[in-house]
This record gives sequence, structure tokens and C-alpha cells, in this order.
Amino acid sequence: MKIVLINPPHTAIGSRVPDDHLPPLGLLALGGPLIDAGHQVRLVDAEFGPMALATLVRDALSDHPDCILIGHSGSTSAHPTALLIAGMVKDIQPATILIYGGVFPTYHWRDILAETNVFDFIVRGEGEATIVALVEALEKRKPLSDVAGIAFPDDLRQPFATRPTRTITNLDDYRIGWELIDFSRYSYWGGKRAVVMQFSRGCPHLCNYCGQRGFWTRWRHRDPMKFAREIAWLYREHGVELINLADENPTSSKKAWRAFLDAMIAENVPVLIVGSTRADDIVRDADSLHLYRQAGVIRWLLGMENTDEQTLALIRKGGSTSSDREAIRLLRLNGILSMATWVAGFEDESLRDLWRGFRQLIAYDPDQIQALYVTPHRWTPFFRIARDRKVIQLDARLWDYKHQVLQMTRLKPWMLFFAVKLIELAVQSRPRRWRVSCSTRIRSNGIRCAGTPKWAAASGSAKSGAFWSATAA
Amino acid sequence: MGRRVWFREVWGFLVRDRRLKHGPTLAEFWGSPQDEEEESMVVERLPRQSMTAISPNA
Repeated sequence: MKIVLINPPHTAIGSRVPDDHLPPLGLLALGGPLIDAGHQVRLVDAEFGPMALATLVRDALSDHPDCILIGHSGSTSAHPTALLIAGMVKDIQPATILIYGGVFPTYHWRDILAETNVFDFIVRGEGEATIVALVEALEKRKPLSDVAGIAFPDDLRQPFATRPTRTITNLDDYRIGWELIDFSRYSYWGGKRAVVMQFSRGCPHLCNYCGQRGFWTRWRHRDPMKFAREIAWLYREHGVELINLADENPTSSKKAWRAFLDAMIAENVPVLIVGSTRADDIVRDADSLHLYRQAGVIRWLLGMENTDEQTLALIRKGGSTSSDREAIRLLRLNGILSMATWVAGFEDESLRDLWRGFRQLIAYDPDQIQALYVTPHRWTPFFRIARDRKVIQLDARLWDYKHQVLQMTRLKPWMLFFAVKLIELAVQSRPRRWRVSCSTRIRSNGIRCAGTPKWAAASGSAKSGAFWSATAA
Repeated sequence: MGRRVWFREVWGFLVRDRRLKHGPTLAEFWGSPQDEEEESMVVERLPRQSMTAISPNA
């Protein structure tokens, strides 16, 4: 079959502003198995430009494909765009089979199929095995109800789902369709040639707000040796300089992660690695963090979410503020940057809570901060806790974690917004770094650094230190 | 936090994005909670292997 994979142009700010774009791993992960099953596959990546929807649809339909697959990693906020694209495709070529997949459609399949008839099939859960089975069933006219992990309108146009699919036991059984992309178009970290990969899927922790854990169902990882070998191959054959790990938690297994680090070091390729992990794992691996750096890790995003122990308990984060702080210190000690995610917009949060959070963040002193807003997904336990909260943002395109979507009891949206913006500015400027470097210079030279208030310089390090200590306590 | 993103967010908040004062509840907007369906797949369980079978020296 002739199949086109569409990566819709995402409307989120993070996708629109930077010059760098990363390849759509989810679609490439489907492309590999489809190519191996003998299908003719092509990718249309509309993130470049971004491509106008009319141009995108014209391009996708240019060689009259049998099937079009639409999916995006930011699936909730990309849904309205995916819907528009599907509608335009059906208007022009109604016979084209439209298949939709990703986290959002996996759970909202009933609503989507009830509200629109533009999607012929929805793939639920991870798609590598399912998409191959579905396309084969379509091609050979086999019964569709035998294909696990799909949903479609039945003969009465009612949404119908087949039995859930099984998790892939061996992630190395399916390859990524790297031949679908032109590597020179994709970059990250200031223009470095980059791709997205997954060492693992899922997460063993039970944070109740996470929209990914249940989607992947169980934490599994790839063979560490094969994964390192693939990275080295990407460097040697395609000049890839940076790997952005899309894992929720790649370091869950100390043994598997250590095997990967050793394999990467043995491959001896100058590839940089960025990703996300938990602070607890960094503290656990304190004695082997030098291997992280040696293997190429340059930045970890630490999902600390909040600095308040009560809030961490509410969201069942399972971490602690002490390990968050220690992880940042350890990473810095080993030359690895830390990016802290911090979530605001909990129902009863007040300015006092934000101030306390700010002081905690200053004390943690991460290199970068990513402030996000509470954005509950319907399939998570946190949704049940928050279900009676009022929605202030009806545009699903803005449900991208970077916009406040729920009303708060004590703060108006403008109050939260400007408090968060100021916190971002203040934390990212890293006042503790200035305090340390300035007080060192004042002590050693008796001079005032640029930007140090005269009163602070005149009174020496003690006073300037006291000022920052007061804010950092 | 990227510098350009920061300014775009401020501009978006002040000029572009609109928020409701009296919106629906979360459950009215997205539908009822679905956390009982949180796990989207079933877990493939492999038959247990003995230590001898998986040992590299076996």
C-alpha cells in the first residue's frame, strides 16, 4: 500500500518559536515496520515553515496514497489541527483511508468517532504492531474486528473498539524508519544535527497527573548495547551530533542504564545526549555520574513539578525536595546542566505559595527552568481530583502546559501569569551564581563586580550574602 | 525557558489569548474521568526463565 505519514504543524509556542526542529519519532517508529512489511511510505513533516494546511494536504495527496496516518507527540493540543487536516483530506479524496494515533486519540476515541466521520480508524496504544496488522487487514480484506488496539465506526456508525493490544515485549523487534527523513533538516541545541530516540517506554512511578505512564502501561527498555550501537551508527552514517531522549524515565533500571553508559563510552562517539529523568535516580547514581557525562549526557530535565511537600503528596510524585536539590548539585558537580520543571496553577495556590516556591527554586539553583501550568488529562487519576474545577481556556490548541487552563480560587489569571513570568526570569538569572562569584571577587580583590549594588560592595560579602540567603531560605 | 518564548508568551497573554470568567467544569469540558482505562494496553507476559537459561555462561 502507498502510505503517507503526516506530522501536523503544532501550534504550541515551544514548537513555533525556535529555529530547531526534531524529527517525529512516533511516526518514524511506525514507518520502519510498515516499510519492512513491504509498503511504500513517505513522511510529510509540516512542522517546517510551518507548512500551510492547504500545502500540506496537497503534498500528502500528490501521489494518491491509499492511507494517511496522522499523529503528533503533543497530541491533545495538536488534535484540532489533526481534525482540520483530516477534514480537508476527506473533502478532496474521500476514498483515502485516514488513520489517527497518539496518546489523546487512544483515550478520546469514543468522542472523536462520535463527533466526526473524517477518521476511519484510531490506533490505541503503541502502534508498531497494530498499524502493520491494520494495514494488512485492509489490504487483504481480513476482518477488522480481529485487529487488536484499534477503534472505528461500526456498521451503525457507532464507535467500536477492538480488544486492547499487547505491550511490545522486546522494543528492539521494531526499527525506526530513519530513511524517511533528511537528517540535515533536523537540529537542536543551537543547530546541532539531532534526532529523538527512546531507550525506554513508560515509567514505574505512579504520579497521578502523568498522561504518559498509562499509555505505555509498563516500563520497558531497549537492549543497551543495540541502543548505543544505533546511536553510533547515526553519528557515523548520518552525522547526528545530539540525541534527545523522549523517555519518561530512562534511568529507572540502574543496571540497564549503566550498561548503556558503558556501551556508549565503548563506542567512543562525540554524541551529546539530553533527556528527562527523576532526581531520585540522579542521587542514586551519585557515584557514577561521571560516566553519564563521559557517555555524552549534557542536560537532564528533572520533573520536580513543585517545591511544596504537600503538593508533591497530592500529585503522588514520590520524590522529595531534598533529593531534588541534591540532584541539581550533583549534576553541576559533574558538568551536567539541570533544567527544573515547575508546575503552577494548583487550585488553592496563593501568592504566598508562589513566593515560597520561588525561594525554594532559588535555593535549588537549577541552570534552567521550565514553568508549566496544571493541565489534567482525562485518563489520569488527577483529573478525578480536579474534575469540578472551572475551565478558563476552551481552545484545546492551548492545552500545551504553557497556558493556564483552569481557574484558581485565590489568584486571577493575570496574577498567576505575571508571577510565573517573574519567577522564570529570576530563577534563570541564577542569583546564587552571582552571589558566589561576586563575593569571591570582593573577598579576594576588594572590588565591586558589575551589577553589584554599591551598598553590597561597600559592606563586603557578608551583607550581599545575607541578602541572597534571605531570599533563598 | 527560552528568551524568545518568554516574550511571545507575554505578548500572547496580553494580546492574543482570551480566557473565560465562567467556563464549564473540567468534567463538562472533556467528559467524565477515565482513569479506570488509564492503562491503554495489556501486558505481554513471557514464560518465566530459569537462571540457567538466561545466564550468559550457560
